[in-house]
Amino acid sequence: MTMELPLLEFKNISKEFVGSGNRQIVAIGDISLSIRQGEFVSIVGPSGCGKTTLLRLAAGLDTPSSGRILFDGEPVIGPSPERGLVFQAYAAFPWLTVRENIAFGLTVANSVRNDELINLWLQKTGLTEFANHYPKALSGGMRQRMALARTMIVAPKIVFLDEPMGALDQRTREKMQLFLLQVVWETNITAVLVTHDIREAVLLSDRIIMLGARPGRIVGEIESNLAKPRSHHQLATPEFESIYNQVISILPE
Amino acid sequence: MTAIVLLFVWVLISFLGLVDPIFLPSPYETLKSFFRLLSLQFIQENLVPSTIRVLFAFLLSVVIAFPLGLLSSQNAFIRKMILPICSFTRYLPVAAFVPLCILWFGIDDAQKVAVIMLGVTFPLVLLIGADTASVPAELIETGRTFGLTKAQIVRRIVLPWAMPTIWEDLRISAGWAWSYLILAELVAGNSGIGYFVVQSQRYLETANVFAGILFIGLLGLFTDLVFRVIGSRLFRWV
Ligand SMILES: Nc1ncnc2c1ncn2[C@@H]1O[C@H](COP(=O)(O)OP(=O)(O)OP(=O)(O)O)[C@@H](O)[C@H]1O
Ligand SMILES: [Mg+2]
Repeated sequence: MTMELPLLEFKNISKEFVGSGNRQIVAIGDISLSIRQGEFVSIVGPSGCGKTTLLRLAAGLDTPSSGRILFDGEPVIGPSPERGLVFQAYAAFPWLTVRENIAFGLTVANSVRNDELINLWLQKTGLTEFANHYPKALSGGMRQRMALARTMIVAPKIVFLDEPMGALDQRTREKMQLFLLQVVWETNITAVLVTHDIREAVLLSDRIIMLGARPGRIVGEIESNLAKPRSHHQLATPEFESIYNQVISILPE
Repeated sequence: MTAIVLLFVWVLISFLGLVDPIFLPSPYETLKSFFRLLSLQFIQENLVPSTIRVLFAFLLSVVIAFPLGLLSSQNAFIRKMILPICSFTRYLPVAAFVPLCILWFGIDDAQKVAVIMLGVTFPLVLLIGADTASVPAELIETGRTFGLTKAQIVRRIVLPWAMPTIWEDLRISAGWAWSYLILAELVAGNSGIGYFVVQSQRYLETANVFAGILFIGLLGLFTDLVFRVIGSRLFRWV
C-alpha cells in the first residue's frame, strides 16, 4: 500500500432528504472518510444507513447537504467518466447488443471505435459468444459482468459498486467475486464496494468501513491484510475468521 | 368460441325467419354485400377517401403529440403548461365536438381531420409523456456518469427505451383514429365508409349496413396487425 494523497475524501458530509409528508430524513449524519489510490474499500451496514447515498454523492449524482467531497484534490460537482458506477440493479441498455452495451462509454468520449479494446473486454467477461445478443438473453451474472465491463472500459480512476452481487445466487456470486478481484488486480483501480455480505467484504477489500443507521455514520473500520492475490481458500483461514469476528462484533446487526 | 356460438345463433335466427331481414339480414346476404363492397367503385368512393383522412389526421396528430409528450416528460415547466390541458380535454367527449367541427370546417375532409385530431392528439401527448418518463433512473444515471449531455441522454437513452411502448400506444391510438373517422363520416359528408353505412341505413339496405360495419372492423384489425408486425421487426430486443 503506497501512502499518497487520498484519491477520494469525504469531509464532514451530511445528506438530508425530504421524505413523505415533508418529513426531514437524515440519510447521512456526519461522515469523514479518505480513500487512498489503489485501495479496495468495502462499506457494510444495516439497510437504510446511507450506503447507496454515500456512493451517489461520491459519483456526483447527488450533492451533499453539507460538507465537501474531494476527488483527486478537486471538489466533486457532478458525474464524470473518471468515477465509474455499477448499480445494484442490472442497468443494461436493452436495445443495445452486449457488444454495444460494453462499448457505450467509448462512443461518448471519442468517435474512434476501439474494436480491440471491446474484444478484450468481451473476452475478459466471457461474453464473446454473446457479443451480438441482446441483454435479455443473458443470465444475471453475465449482465453484471457486462455492466462492470461497460464501466471499466473507459478506464475510470475509481469504481463504485453498489451491491453488484446482491441479486446473484451463491455460485454465480463467487464467480463474480473472482472476476471483480481479477479486474481490480489487473487495473490496480481504486474500488468502493457496498455489500450486505460481510464475508465478501472481508475477502475482497483492504479496508472495511462499518456504518450505523439513523443517521448514517461510521461506527468502525478494520483493515483486512489477508495475503494477495485473494482467493476463496482464505475463507477457511484463522486470519479470515479473526477479521470477520471483529467486524460482526462492531456491527449493530 | 363465443364468436362461433354467436354466428350459429345468427344463422339459426335468419334460417327460422324469426326476425324481419330489414332488421337482421342473413349471414349469407351480409357476406354477399360484403364482397360487393370490394368493387372498384366502392374503393374509390369510400375506402380511399376514408383511408387518406385517417392517415393524414393520424400522422399530423403524431407529429404534434410526439414533441409535446417528450418535452413534457423532460421539462417541468412545459409539463405544468401542457398536462392540465391534456388531462382536462380527456373528459370532453369527442362526439360533442362534431357539431362544432362542422360549424368551423364544413362537412368535407377538414371536418373529419379535425375530429380525429381532437380525439387522438391530446391523449397521445399524455401517453408519450408517460412513456418517455418511465426510463429507469439507473439508465439515465449511467449516461450521466459517461458524460452525456441532457440532449444526448434523450437521444441515446430516453427515446430508444421508450420507443417500443410509444409504438404500442400509436397502435392503440390508430384504432381510435378509425373510430373517430367513422363518427365524423356518419354525421356529415358525402363519401367514406361511415357515409356508406349511413346511406345504406337510409335506404333500408340493412345487409349493406352490416357489411359496412364488418368492413370497418376488418380495417381496424388490419391496421392493428400492420403495427404489430412492424413493431416486432423494429424492436427485437424486447
Ligand atoms: N431520494 C430519496 N428521497 C428520500 N429519501 C431517501 C432518498 N434516497 C434515500 N433516502 C433515505 O435515506 C436513507 C438511506 O438510504 P440509502 O439508500 O442510502 O440506504 P442503503 O444503506 O443503501 O440501504 P440498503 O442497504 O437497503 O440499500 C433511507 O432512510 C432512505 O429511505
Ligand atoms: Mg442501497
